Parts: sequence; structure tokens; C-alpha cells
Amino acid sequence: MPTERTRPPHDIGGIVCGLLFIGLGVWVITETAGMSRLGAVFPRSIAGALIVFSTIMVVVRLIRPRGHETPDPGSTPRRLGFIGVMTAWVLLLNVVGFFTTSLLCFLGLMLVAHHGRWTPGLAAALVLAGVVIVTAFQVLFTEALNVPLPTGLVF
Amino acid sequence: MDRLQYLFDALTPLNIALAWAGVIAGTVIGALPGLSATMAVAVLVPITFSMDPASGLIMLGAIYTGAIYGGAFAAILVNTPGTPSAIATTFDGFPMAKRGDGDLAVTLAAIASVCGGLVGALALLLLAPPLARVALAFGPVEYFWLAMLGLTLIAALSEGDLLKGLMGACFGLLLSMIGVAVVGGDVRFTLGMPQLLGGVEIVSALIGLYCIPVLIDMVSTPKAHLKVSTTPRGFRLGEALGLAWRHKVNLGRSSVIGTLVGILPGAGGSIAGLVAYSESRRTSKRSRHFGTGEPEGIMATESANNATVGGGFIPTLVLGIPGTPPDAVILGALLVQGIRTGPSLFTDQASISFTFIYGLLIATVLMLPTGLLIGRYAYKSIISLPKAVLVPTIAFMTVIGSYAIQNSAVDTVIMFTLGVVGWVLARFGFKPSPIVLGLVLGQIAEQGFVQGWLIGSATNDLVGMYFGRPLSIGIIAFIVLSLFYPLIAPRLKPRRPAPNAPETSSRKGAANAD
Repeated sequence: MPTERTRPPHDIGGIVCGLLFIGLGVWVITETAGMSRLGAVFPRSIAGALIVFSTIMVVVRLIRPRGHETPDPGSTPRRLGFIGVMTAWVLLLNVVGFFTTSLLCFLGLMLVAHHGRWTPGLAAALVLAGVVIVTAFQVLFTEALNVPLPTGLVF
Repeated sequence: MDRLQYLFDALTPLNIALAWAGVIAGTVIGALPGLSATMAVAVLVPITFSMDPASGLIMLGAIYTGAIYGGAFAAILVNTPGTPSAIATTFDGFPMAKRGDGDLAVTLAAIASVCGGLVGALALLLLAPPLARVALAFGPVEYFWLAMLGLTLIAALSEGDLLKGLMGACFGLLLSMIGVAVVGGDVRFTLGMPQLLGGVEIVSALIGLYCIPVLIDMVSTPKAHLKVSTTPRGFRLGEALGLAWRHKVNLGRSSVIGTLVGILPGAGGSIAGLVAYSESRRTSKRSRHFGTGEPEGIMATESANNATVGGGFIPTLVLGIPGTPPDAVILGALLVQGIRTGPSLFTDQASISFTFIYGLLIATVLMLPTGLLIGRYAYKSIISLPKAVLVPTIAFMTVIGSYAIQNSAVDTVIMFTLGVVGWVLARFGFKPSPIVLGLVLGQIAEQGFVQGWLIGSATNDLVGMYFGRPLSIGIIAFIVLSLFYPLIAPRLKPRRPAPNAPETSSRKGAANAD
């Protein structure tokens, strides 16, 4: 029985990234217009190369569709939850204070990363582990390594 | 006879204890993402001020060598180079850990680090003055070509999509240009934000690009982070020693590369690891397995980056020019101790310099038991911790590590932003390694290129400047070999097909050969 050859899907994501890289290359070249020759020569060369490679990739992908290995599906809400908690962490640590932000976000990430059933005992154990780990690192960095961690509004 | 006396001086219980303490402290600090060897040495250097100069130096050397080795743990177990020197360790270390060979990878890294460290320290002991002249022979154009040699790895790291690899490398190179230009002083691509004037801090970017995508995908499934073996296998020392013996040429060559690159001021362990990895891949019969968990890749990187320790001390001690950033800190410590560096150091203050070098050799040997024990503990911790603890702990280390580099929250924001960008790009087939390669090598390449262009223009010999110098020609030959050898090698000689299965032990490797 003859097998039917299926056409691979277009690498839409790759093509969009390619177009964005072309845009980035054009922006870099326009930015170099106001720079000295010494400062402009390297970025202009690299941006030119980026535009050439991206254009070839986009054209080749349009003419000969080729998918790429798709990553594991996984849970999108958990991924977005992780990104949300981390965004709050890096933006607030200077404002609220390193210890407080880190402790809250540490506990937040525990919520995002735990896939099993929650029990009061497990929750208590995880909170305790979080407090111990954050405190230990805080002490290690501020006392032993002399890194001045921001204290912010709270601590 | 004098040298034997210096060896005995280095072998006092106090010096051995200091070397061991230094190795432990360095390994632990190096294993934490964001805490580099430079920071390990800088933080602990005041402790040595009150010590006898030779003992203080032994401790600093031990901290340095331990920190370079410690970077391998995070690279292998969480895909994040603990130090920039361990960038290339992630290429094969993490895939090995994912398939359940993390214990073997950690042990191999320890053995390779000891081999590299010994070769570097022996070069320092026996060949320091003549090798120091190599550092002076390297001009800007040679640095440019060296960076290009590192960039040839893109072909290997693109995982079947060279165009995307090249685009990723260009993106990384553009990222390296953000801030004040290395030559000319132009303010570039800062979007008007003064926070970006200092540019993208490389270690923060490394942490973000490698670690954040792993964490994002880790939280999305309940699957274990690393594959866990059902049977306890210990250190797998015999298996690792067997692999090391079989690839002794790779170990030796990578150690020599590491020593030579370490001698070059400013090059450092990351370039040494990348160049050694590239050479190892080029010459290996299993080159197509590189990047998928090939033990040879780990051995090449780890031996090379630890060899830079001894190599870096050569220009530091002989010429007073620090070969690597930690060497610069140690040079400062030498001045505080009243030691004058220069060729006369090995004659006028031979007792200090030779006792220190023997101490460095001892510290390197001590790295094996220390590394095996710490590595075993780290591996067991990583595989036994539940995700609810592992994910926030690693995330916390990325935040605190990227902050601590320059005490800057901006670096933390850049780390996370690049991490998310890297994750999005990876979903569309753009791997992080070419981006990292461009970012790490960008400044060296640009500085060498522009300075060479300036000198060539001034002397009216632009072509001769780039292509006429003997050292440049040698490096260009290696670049050409790296790029085209895999294409022409099969035509030069008929060869048995390489084994498909991952190489773990001799018996398994042979059994699985095609």
C-alpha cells in the first residue's frame, strides 16, 4: 500500500522570529548612523549578517516548509504563574526589600511547582523549608559574603 | 635540593589544611550560580592578609581552582554554568544528567579538572618564563581570531539548524554591544536607559538564558527533573577513570589548550573551555554526539578551564600581568604581602613562589576527593528534592546570584528578561548556546577587530594585519579545520561508523557500537 507523504507544517514561529530579527537588524543599522566610525563598524557588520541570515531562513522556510521539534506540552497556566511570580520578584526586591520579597515569592513558586495534593502537614513542612532556605541564603550573603542586599520598605 | 625543600614547606599540616579549606570554600561558592571564581577569591582574600605569604597564596590558589571546578556542578545538574568557565560543560553535562548519568558526569568533571589543574600547575612550575613570552606575542588581531575560533562552535551547537544558530549568535553579539563601546566610547543601544550603560552583565545573562527556560519547563509537568537510577551506583569512579584513560589524548590536549589560553591576559576559562570543546569535537570519532551528552565534551571543557588556573598565574607572576580576573585579585594580594612580581620572583623570592606552586599542585590533587564528595551530595540533593522545593530554591539562587555580581537589581531584571526571551526563542528552535557564545565572545571579538583595523589602517597594511601574522595564520588554520574537517574527514579515510549509544563504560560502549 503506497504511503501518503504529508507536507510538514510551516515553521510559523521561526518565520515570525526571523522577521523580528530582520527588524532588529534594520533598527541597529539606523542607530549606528549617529555613532563614530569605530563604534559603528562592528554592530553594522553583525546587523548586516543578521539580516542576511534571517532573510535566507525566512525565504527557505516559505519555499520548503520544515517544522521544528516541538517542546513538551506541559501546563501553560503553571508556566505563566512562574513568569508572573518571577516578574514580581525581580521588580519588587529593591522596593519592598530583598528578604520579604524573596520569602513571599519563594512560597508563591512552591504553590506553582507542586503538582500533588496539598495537606496541612505538607504545607507546614514546605513553608518551614522556605523560611529556612531564604534565611540561610540571606545570612550567607549579607554576613559571610558581605553582599549588601536591599532592605527596601519592609526588609 | 632547594626545590625539594620547597615541596616539604608546602606539605606542612597547616598548608594542607589551608589548601583543603580553600578548595572546599571555592567549590561551594563556584557551584552557586552567579558567584564566580573572581568573587570567591575577592571575598576570601582578606583572610589571607594575616597569614605567612606562601600559606596565604596557597589558600588563594586553592579557592580559585576549587571555584573553577565548582562551576561544573550547576552546569551539569541544573543547566546553569556556576561560573562562565563552565559554559561548555552545560552542552553535554546537562543532557547526561537528564538521561540518568549525572553522577558519572560529576565524577568525570572532577577527574578532568584535576588533570587540567595539574597540567596548568606543572607548566607554571617548569615553563613559566618562556611561556610568559607567549602572552606578549598575542596582539589584538590574534584575540579577534581566537574569538572567531570560539564562534565556529555555532555549527555544533545549532542542533541541525545552522541558520537559526547563526541568527542566535548574531543576536548574542548585538547584546554584547549594549552600553559604552569598548573602542571609541560610543553609547550604543541603551534605549535612553542609563541602567543599560554598563551593558549586559555576562554572568547574569548566562544564568537567565540557561536556567530560567529550564525552570519554566520544570514547573509545567510533574515529571522528575532528572532521570533517577533505581540501583545505587556510588561515585562511578572506576567507569569515569576508564573513560578518562581512553580519552587521555583529549584530556592532555584540552589541558594544554587551557594552559595556553590561560596565559593570554583577558581570555579566561570560558574561552579555554569553548576552544578545547571545539577541538575535542573536531577530532572525536563521536563528534555528532557532542551536545547530546558526550563524556568527551565534559572532559575537554573541565580539563581546559582548570588548566587556565596554572596558565593564568604565569603572566601574573612572571610579568605582573594578570591572565584572568581572579589573577588580578591575587596580584593585589601579592602586593599587600609585599611581594614584587617579575622574572626575579623565581630567584629572589623562590621560597614563596615555589612553595605556592607546590601548594597549588597539592590543592589540585585534593580537589578529587573534595569534588567527589560534594558532587555526590549535590547530585543526591538535586534528584531527591521535591519540585516544590527545588524550583523556588534554584529560582532564589538565580535572583540572589545575579544581584550579587554587581549589587544591582538591574542585572536581576536583565537576567530574567533574557531568560524569558531565551525560553520563547527556544520554543521556535533557537537554542540558547549560540546566543551565549555571541554574548561571551562579542567584546573580545569587537575589541580585537577594531584595534586591528586601526593599526592596519595606520600602517596601510590591513590585509597583512589580519592575515599576515604567524600566530593569526595558525589560528585561522584551526578555524578552517574546525569548520571543514567534519565535511572532508569521511572522504579522506574510510571509517567505522560511530557508536550511536551514549558512551558510559567501555563494555557498554563496545556492546552498543554499530
